[in-house]
Amino acid sequence: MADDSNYDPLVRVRFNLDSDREDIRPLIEQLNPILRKIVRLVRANPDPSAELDATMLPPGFHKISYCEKCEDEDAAD
Amino acid sequence: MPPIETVIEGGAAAKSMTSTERTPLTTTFVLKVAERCNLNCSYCYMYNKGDTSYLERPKFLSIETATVALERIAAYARRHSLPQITVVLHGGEPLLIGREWVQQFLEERDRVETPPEVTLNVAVQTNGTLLDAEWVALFNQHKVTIGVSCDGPEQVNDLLRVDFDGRSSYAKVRSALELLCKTSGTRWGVLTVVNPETQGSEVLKHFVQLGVRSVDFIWPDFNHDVRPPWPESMLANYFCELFDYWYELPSPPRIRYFESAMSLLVGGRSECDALGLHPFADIMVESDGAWEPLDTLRICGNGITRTGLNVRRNDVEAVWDVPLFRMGLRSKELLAPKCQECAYRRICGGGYLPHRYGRDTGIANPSVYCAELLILLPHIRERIAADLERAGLLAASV
Repeated sequence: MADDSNYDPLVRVRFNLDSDREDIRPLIEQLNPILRKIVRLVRANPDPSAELDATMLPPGFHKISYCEKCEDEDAAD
Repeated sequence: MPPIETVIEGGAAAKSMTSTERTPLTTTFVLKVAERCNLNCSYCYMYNKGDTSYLERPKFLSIETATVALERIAAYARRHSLPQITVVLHGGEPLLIGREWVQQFLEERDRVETPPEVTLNVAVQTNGTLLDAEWVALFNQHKVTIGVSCDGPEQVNDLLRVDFDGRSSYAKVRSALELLCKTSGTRWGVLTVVNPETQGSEVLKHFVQLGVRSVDFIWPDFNHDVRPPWPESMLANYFCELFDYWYELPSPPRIRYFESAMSLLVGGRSECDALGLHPFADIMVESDGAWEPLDTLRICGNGITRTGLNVRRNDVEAVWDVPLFRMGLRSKELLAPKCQECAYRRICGGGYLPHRYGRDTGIANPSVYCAELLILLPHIRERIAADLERAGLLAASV
């Protein structure tokens, strides 16, 4: 089985303020609405191991197109 | 066909999976309240993909059996400290069971759940043909999340979503969507099964014009025994064109598949079970009370999801020892060698479980849509990486 213990995303975003020593929020504001929402959510709630189990899946079935948890795109900030 | 134990365990004796430490916990239960439908969609995994087990079951789930199921589910949630459970009313067409049954069911739900310790959220997946103002009022009153199946504008929807006489379902479904747009806020969405012979942007444009704010685009169900009929890359082209259109919209509706792909690509989580490396742990309750694993696995063989377990006799945990269910829990462990070496394995997760299935190899195969995914996912990656770089947000890329 592949070792995913050191997961590296395929696209690395500058999330970490300490290492960047720069407030990246103005940069995030430049993104289009969809990417801005995703970056905010992932920044607030990264998944370093991506070791999802069923308890971490959001409420809702894959055939139901609504997620209360993520509806507010500003929630992550 | 070899026994499923042989396919998924490589011939080894089935290992017991009773340790909660090793067992991902199910938080979604799907109740097949009606095993019949008033539509006859040719791609339907319930009726038109070779499984005939529905013929041996009652047409409807009795309220008594549904109540026992709710009690079993709530007790299981308490045993494992799961505060949020989703129970989906599904079918067939669940609204065929009637409002009185659903009203009673929701009252039983209120009796059985004990928030905040255990909350049983209810959702319904309907074809929309019976959804009227009274149904919507009932669902809104009880905070039931509504999913409506519709494949797009009339000429697209009616290619495959027709009744048993071949008549259109579009007008009724459109009325339901218009009603929901007026009355139901964001607690609802549309599910669309993709037809690559149509154009994704046209389908999405239609829903945007109606006011729909959430659309799930679903890959058609095929596997390695019954392969998709379209030339390779046709579905990838559909999804790439759809992604590009959606991505540029000033006020885009939610498309969880794309949002999940983007999130996974930048190190986040998936919100849909067709993407991401996660176990498949959903549990079904059939109209006779049978506990079964993921319903879409029915496309993999007639009766393949049968377990012999029933809500009348067995607790939820009994399903943990069902080989087909365990196969879904071990979806990551059972990745094909090609997938284990692939940079995109965390994004596609090796593919949606039924799409990985082959009669002789179980799910140890890449998705039957692997080639398509390896066009679509790099396409999405390139789009977002370019935008992140332009904004000065790209740290590095692999």
